[in-house]
Amino acid sequence: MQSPSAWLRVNAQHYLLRDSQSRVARRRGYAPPNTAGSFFWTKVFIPIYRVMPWGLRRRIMVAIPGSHTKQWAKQGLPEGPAV
Amino acid sequence: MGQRIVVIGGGGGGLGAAGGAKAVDPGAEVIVFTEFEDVAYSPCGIPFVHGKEIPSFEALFLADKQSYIDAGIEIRYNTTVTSIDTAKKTVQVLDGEPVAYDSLVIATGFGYANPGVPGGDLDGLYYVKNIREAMEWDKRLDTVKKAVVVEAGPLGVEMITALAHRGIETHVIDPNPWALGEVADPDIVELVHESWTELGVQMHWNTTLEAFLGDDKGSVRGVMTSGGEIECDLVVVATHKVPNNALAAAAGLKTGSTGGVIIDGGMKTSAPSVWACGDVCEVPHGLGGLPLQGLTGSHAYAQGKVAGANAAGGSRTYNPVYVPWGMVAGKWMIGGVAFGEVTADALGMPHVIGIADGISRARYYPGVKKVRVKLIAEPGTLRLIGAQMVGGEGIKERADFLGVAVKTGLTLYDLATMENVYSPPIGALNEPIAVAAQKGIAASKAT
Repeated sequence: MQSPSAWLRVNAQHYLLRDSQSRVARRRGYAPPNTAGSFFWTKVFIPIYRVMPWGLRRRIMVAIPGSHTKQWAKQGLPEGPAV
Repeated sequence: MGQRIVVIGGGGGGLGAAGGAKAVDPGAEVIVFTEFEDVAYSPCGIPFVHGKEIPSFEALFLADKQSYIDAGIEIRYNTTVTSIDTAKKTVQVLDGEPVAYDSLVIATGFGYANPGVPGGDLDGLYYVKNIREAMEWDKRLDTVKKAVVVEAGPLGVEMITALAHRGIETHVIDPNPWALGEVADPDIVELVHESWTELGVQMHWNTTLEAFLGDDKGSVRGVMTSGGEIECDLVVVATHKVPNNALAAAAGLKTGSTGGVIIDGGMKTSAPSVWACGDVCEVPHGLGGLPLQGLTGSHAYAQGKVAGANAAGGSRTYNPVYVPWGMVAGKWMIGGVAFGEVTADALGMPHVIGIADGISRARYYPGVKKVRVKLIAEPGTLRLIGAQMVGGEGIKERADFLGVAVKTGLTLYDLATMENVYSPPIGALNEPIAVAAQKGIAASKAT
């Protein structure tokens, strides 16, 4: 039994990738894949996702439960001269 | 007797954890449960034995059983753990008494996604994973004339190449429009497709599996696909890696959108005194934090070291990942790091691209090979967010270097003026990474 977040991830990833493959293939001169599929995902989700600003998309993605919401070390470059 | 640390799983993650625990607390009792008859071998090497690049499976064993006994690690082979009780801090093994633990590390690894089509119980469906089974399959490959590989993900790519090297008529079916379609860009895999064609591989892209077809003896005789029937003697099922999370989920551990066990930077799970590592868990991407599951053996081993050390009382951390990757595909090496054009576009990340075709050695030096580098950067800052490459040599080293470049926030400006090794047998005058960066800067100014 898939959790709601897993269901969302699997479907969103599948349809966004297929849409992206199609657009990159056209841009680079390759045969695009067939992007037919569920009405909701192809005609509702993809167009709405594409018009959302990146900042909003990112906020939605990180709001989904997962390891990224836990404590992880912050990374940064050491300060000061190396020698 | 000191504390008891139980590890479930004898793959890279599990053995990394056992070693990590012993390093922190040499007096700890460390028990590893594995349902298989072996540990400490490289399953990643199996395709290359099948392809005859490696002469025997024995070469894949990294350590013998005595070495674990000498290290004070007790490995219980052929032992299946059936449940975990996080309240009582015990694990139940099949046909045995509950085993108590002070700390537990779950390293149950991955399985292949169920294709979910009729015929899944036929003989002749090969899921590449276990070395003893691989030895038996290898004998059988001597009689195989025609094989189908289901999906050209990383393992599928290696098996396609291996079977073709072995002289077997090899077909690949994949719902994606090109190999590694969920990771790689079409202009990167184009050369791989060309070389597979030269090796006689027949590619069926945009094609889904509908059924495994059997004969009257219960053996596979072909596959039915969205593009028609393909006859074969063997099917390599190389579907997505999915986490073996049943034990963890049944014990009440939280899982994320990938199905992987949720952990923090110390590999700690949602249950007290329980850590997880490797393909059973998910870790965040270093750019944006999207959780990823099903990475490489090197990731699993490093995670295991952290999980084991912390389970023994240490305080190590694991960092978000950028996933440098690479492999041999057909006659080429292919690789990259972080985002490619397709994945950045799929997420809707704004990006600029620089592409360059270069060479691996001085143009006059024998053995010179083509190298194509594609860099993906954030607009404005031109900070590197990913790269993809294909070439005859030097791809792994470039992927490793660019992994550090992404992690440390280098920009196309940094890469465009990078110094590079120039020595005719090993490096050309112009480094393709620098040229691709220069082109990316030019492209950003043109938009």
